[in-house]
Amino acid sequence: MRVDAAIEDWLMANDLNSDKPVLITETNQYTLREILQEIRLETPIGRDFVRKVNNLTIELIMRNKENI
Amino acid sequence: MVNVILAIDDEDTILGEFYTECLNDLENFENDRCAITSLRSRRLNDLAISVSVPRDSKFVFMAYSHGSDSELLVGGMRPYISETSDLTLFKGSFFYTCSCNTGKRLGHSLINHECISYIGYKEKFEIWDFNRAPFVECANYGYKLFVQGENVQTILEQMKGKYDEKIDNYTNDYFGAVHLLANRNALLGLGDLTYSIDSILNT
Repeated sequence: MRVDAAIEDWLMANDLNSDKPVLITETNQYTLREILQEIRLETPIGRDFVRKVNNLTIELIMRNKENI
Repeated sequence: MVNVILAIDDEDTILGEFYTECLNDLENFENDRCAITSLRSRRLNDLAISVSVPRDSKFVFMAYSHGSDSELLVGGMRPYISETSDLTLFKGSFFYTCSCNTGKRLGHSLINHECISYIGYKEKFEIWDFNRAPFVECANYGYKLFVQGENVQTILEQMKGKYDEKIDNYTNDYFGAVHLLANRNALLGLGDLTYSIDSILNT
């Protein structure tokens, strides 16, 4: 699964202002474009994001809710 | 009437807005069982806590701020509760926190100092701010259940159920569900899981 591609799709589908932070973590706030950059650079934030996306995918498949 | 001390870092530059929404939601939760005393950012320090917590009765302590394995922090920098501070202050308390990581160590230390029950998070608590409301609702839900009389074990189960409900309802925002699931999986209860508000009201 290409998570960065999925974020790009989501960004375009929601027509967001890319300057608006959407992820608030313990130490920082990130816009979608910044998240995308973190993922592409494989930073700890980016890897953590991908891991969580994969966790949800597995969770929904296990609960037979893959079409939320 | 049960004393509730709410430590809340409402002026934090990163999470202040979120905590303020949590505070507004808590203040709008009307009930005749609890009286909340708020310690906001400017009054949030170890001295203010030591003079605010009841010494001779059971109480509820809530903390909405940054956290680490061993501390709760103002502005993400300055500890106001830590493993090295006087944790006996929380003897006889139900400790409920929306903060990162305190389930790893601080929660256990509180229980070791006769805090009765702890509910918090053992990993990062993160917010997908595209739609903040489910994160506020899930953050406060356990406290509301406690006020309504549920015990800690049931609260944990129903909090996870609330997270699942919000995950399932995230039809337009997969990444919101991603972070709700991570927060759900980080949820942790420690200490006496049979504890409830009735245990306080009946003493």
